[in-house]
Formats: sequence, C-alpha cells, structure tokens
Amino acid sequence: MKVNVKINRGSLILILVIILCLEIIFLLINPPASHYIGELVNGSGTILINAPCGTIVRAYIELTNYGTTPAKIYLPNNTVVILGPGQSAQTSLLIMPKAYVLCSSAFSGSIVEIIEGNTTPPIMAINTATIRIVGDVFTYVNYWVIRL
Amino acid sequence: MSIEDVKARIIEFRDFLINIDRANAIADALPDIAINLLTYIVLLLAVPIIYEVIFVTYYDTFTMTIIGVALSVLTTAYFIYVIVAKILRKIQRAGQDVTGRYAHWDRLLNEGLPGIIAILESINYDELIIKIHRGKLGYVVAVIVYIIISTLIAGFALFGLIFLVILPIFVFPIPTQLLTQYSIPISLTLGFALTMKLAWNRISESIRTLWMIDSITWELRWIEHDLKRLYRI
Repeated sequence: MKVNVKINRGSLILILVIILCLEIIFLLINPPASHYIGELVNGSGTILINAPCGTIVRAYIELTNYGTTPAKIYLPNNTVVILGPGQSAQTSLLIMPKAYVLCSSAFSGSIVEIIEGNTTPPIMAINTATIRIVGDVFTYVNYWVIRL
Repeated sequence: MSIEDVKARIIEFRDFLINIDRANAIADALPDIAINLLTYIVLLLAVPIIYEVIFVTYYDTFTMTIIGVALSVLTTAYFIYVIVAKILRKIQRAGQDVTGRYAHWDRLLNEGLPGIIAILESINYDELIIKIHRGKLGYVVAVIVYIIISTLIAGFALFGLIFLVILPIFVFPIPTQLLTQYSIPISLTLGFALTMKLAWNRISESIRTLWMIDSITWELRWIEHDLKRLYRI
C-alpha cells in the first residue's frame, strides 16, 4: 500500500522554523567549545568528574609526574597507572548519567573538580568518575559538556 | 487626445503590466526561496551540533577531522547548489513567460478604437490593484535577496582570492588576527562594494521599476478617465 504524504509550503516553513529555533536553543545551551582546568597535585589528590542529570561529559585527562618518585594513578575502571618521574599519561573518559535515575536533585557543584589531599568530598552528581592520584602530578583536564 | 496618443499610453501601460506580472511571479517564488534558505540554515546549524555530539561521544581526532572536512565540503556544495541552482535560477526564470500574455495586444491595437476598447475592457482593475501591492513586495524582496546572494558569492570569491592566494604570496606568515577576526568582514564588505559596482544599473533599474509600480495606480485612474471620455459616459 502506497501512502502519499503531502505537506504544503506553509507547514514546511513552520516545521523548518521550529527546527531552526530548537537548533539555536541547543547551540546557546551547548556552545561548541571545551573547558579546561589544570592544577598541580602535591602528594595526593582526587579528580572528580561529575555528570549531572541530563548531561553527557567527555573529559580528556593529561597527567604528568613532576616529582622525583613514581606516582600512582587509580583510574575509574580499577586500573592503576604508574608514572615515573617526568613521564606523562593521557586518558579519555565518557561519563553519562544513569538512565534509571530520575532528575530529582539539582547539581550545583562544578563538572570537574581537582581536590588536593586525602579527603574526598561527598559525591554530589548523579554519576561521577573518580581518579585518585598519589604523587606530585600536574593534572590537566579538558572537558566538553552536552546538556540535553 | 488622438488615437495614436492613446495607443502610445496603452503600450506604456503594457510595459507596466509586464513588470507587475514579473514582480508577482517573483512573489510567487518567495515561499520556495524561503524554504531553500531555511533548509540550508537548518543544515548549517545541524553541522556543529552533529559534530559536537559525535566528538563528545566518540572522541577520535583522526575520525573527527575526516567528519569535519566531509561536513564542510557537503555544506559548501549544498550552499552553492541552493544559491546558484535554486534561488538565482528561480528569480531569473520568474515571469519569463509574461511577455507572451500581452502578445495579442499588438493585433488589437492595429484594429484601432474597437481594439483599444477591447483591451481596456479585458483588464480587471480590482485584481490589478491587488497585483500591484503584491508585486511591490516581490520586487523589494527580490532586490534584497539578489544583493545578499551576490554579496555572499563575491565575498567568498574575494576571501579565496585575497586570503588564500594573493596574501600568502606576498605576506608569510599571515597574521593570525587578520585571518581569524577580520578576513570575513573585509571580504564581505569588498563583496558588497563589488556587487553594487557591477550590478548598480540592474539595481537602479529595479528601484525605478518600483517607483513605476507605485505610479501605476495613477496611470490606471487616468486610463479609466480617458476611457469614460472616449465613450462619452
């Protein structure tokens, strides 16, 4: 059975204008630009990458050992990277909110936080990736956020 | 007023009608032009969105470079297709068949007074007034669209010529600020100046036609008055 769907020009213009408005809103909320944060962690520290409800976060993390002793990096997938003095490592993480969690609480913290010291603050976001650092490591995080 | 004078005014009136019909044909083509332009803008804005979403979810610089180049080439090709093949052709073709509608007037004018009366009686003056108002809109939009499109084409051509061919030959390396911040405004300004220089006669002719369309209402009243005088109404 063949179905012919005809859209008149007025409706087509209206549909295109609606799509255009949605695209403009999306680009205003999500300008195609990245954010970055760089910090030197002395001794120990934690990188928290939060993906609040309704967001997708891509983080590119570059770690360089500035100390004289080897540094240990504990990645979210339970692997441990050991960096010798002067060595560097990169990793890229995609953090998506869990689909079964309702957007019940507003997230007021920052997407990426680098915290020095052993104390880890309580996790605020719906989904958070944690990277623990032991050693003198310069941490550079470049991240993109898409708010849906 | 002699019959010859009336014939001359009717020929003049026919030229007015041809212009009005052309302007109406352009007004008829406006929704299609709007659809083409809107489709292009929608696709143009979709490119950074698609790129951003793929970049965030997939994150591979090599693949992203290929996707970026492919999307840029496709949007540029579609831009050229929309502008040249669709919009400019639509404006140029609008009202090409108009002259044929009044071809029989020559024969009627040769018949003398009965032919002149037949011509004047065949005109629907109410419809003509509506056509005049619609035609004015068509003409204004067509002139603006023509200037914008010509400026864009000339601007892009000048951008390629100045910033990708001439400047790299004489100035190397080109200052980044000049290339990133000022290249497009400079190219578009030069493109606009070039468009106005090359198409000034055509644009001024269009503006003159617009004034003629404005004055046609008075012409119509004058012809009606003469018609009544001829009939001794």
